Amino acid sequence: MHTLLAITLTVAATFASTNPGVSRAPQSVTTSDVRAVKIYDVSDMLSAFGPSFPAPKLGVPEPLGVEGASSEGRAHEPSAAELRAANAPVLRGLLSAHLQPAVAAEQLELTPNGALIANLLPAQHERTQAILDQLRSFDGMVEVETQYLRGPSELLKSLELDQTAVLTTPEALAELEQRLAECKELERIRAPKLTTLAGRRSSISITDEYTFVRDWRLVRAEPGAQEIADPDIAVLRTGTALDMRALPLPGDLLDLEFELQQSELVRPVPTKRIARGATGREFEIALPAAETQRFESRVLLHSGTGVVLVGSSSDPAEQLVVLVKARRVER
Amino acid sequence: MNRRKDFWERVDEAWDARRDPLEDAALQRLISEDPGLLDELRRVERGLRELRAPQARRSGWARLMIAAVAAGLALAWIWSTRRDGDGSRDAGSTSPHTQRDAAALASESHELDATPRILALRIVNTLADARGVTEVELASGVRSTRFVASTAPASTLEPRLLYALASVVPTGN
Repeated sequence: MHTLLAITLTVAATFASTNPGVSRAPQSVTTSDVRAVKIYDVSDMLSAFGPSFPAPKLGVPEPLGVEGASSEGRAHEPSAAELRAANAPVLRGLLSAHLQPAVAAEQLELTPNGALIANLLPAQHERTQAILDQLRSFDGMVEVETQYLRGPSELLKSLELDQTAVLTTPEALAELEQRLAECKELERIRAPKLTTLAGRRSSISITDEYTFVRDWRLVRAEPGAQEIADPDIAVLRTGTALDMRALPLPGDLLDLEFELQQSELVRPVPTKRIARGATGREFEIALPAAETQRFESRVLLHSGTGVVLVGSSSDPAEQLVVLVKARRVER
Repeated sequence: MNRRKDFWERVDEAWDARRDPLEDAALQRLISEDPGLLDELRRVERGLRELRAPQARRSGWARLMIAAVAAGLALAWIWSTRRDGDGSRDAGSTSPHTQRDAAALASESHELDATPRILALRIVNTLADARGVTEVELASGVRSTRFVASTAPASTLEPRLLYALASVVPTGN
């Protein structure tokens, strides 16, 4: 049946392609504007990108013990096929972001065995090959440093930190860092730094844990049909997290994909008395709240430069700014 | 002609073995030699997908009709491909995979666009409290707010009514 259907549809395609009114008209097609299919073996690269894992989620209460469960999942050693499947979107996303003109999803197909089937223009094939060559030949590491800063809008404006911007040269970055060093009023929250292999997903988080009782339930247990109170304990993690992947590109460029989080517990934490059971026994629970700002971004930077990301807080006295710097370093 | 025949035979073998034809090294080589085959394969696969769902609902009589039509088309295909083999293909025709891309004419540069820039940015502010999680998202100049879900057991909610709210407000940024 497969053969029959294949023949049926192939015939339809043949008729369509030989219809004189459709495609037989002579066209002035040059080799530079005609797409061609090329197959690239990228299985080594997809494996080298390493395992993927969920980014830490700050500011949302989780049942006690969840962190242990996730690290157990991380310990599982993924197979080569799993790595290729997990990392295929990474390579497709990278190429899609840097090929001009923009490519449709079906133009870049990655098979489960790690073959990239690309239906592209010659110039796009050249870029694809250059990107793949750079990813393969790069044997250094990428260092990403972040600074979480906070201050009133007016102060940030005077430091030219009031708008999200790319620092396109190392000189512009050095000038900004000089201004920051001289400013004593700005609150420096944290400055996590990561040095990672190219293409590897990396994550660092510096967190505070607030463990609290969020509910009680009464359990009737033997002997004596006792009514025992069982607490529902949760953990609220706040702090700073950086989750990123850096990919070197030709020309000293870095494609940086990252998620930054800054989360804080709102103090004081309110409490509440609740009644449980037929007798109405009273218990106290905590009702904590956490405010989190999350930046999900992808940037293209020259090595040794950076980007300034400005939060969108509704409070002008408490604006969050994150400075992200990236550079290539030798192993 | 032999290449096409060889290609479809191998595709058929792969399908019969429940394998992805593109995993076959020989098929990959044939596609790289004649990229038009990939488009043909894609068309067939697309057609198969479209046929698969309605196929299950069709009566046996309808299946017979499809088979008869397919057989007729198969004969036509053999006739058509023989013509190709006789060298009667129009020299002016282009391979099915060739597509003129107007945008490509404007893009003469083969170099990577090296302008440092932000390719994507999404900022999300979250407030998680006893009532649930409220997210305010700022992306592409649009601020959207949504009440996601409760993080606490229902018994501790204040108020106890669970609700969902969404709003989208252009910020003009």
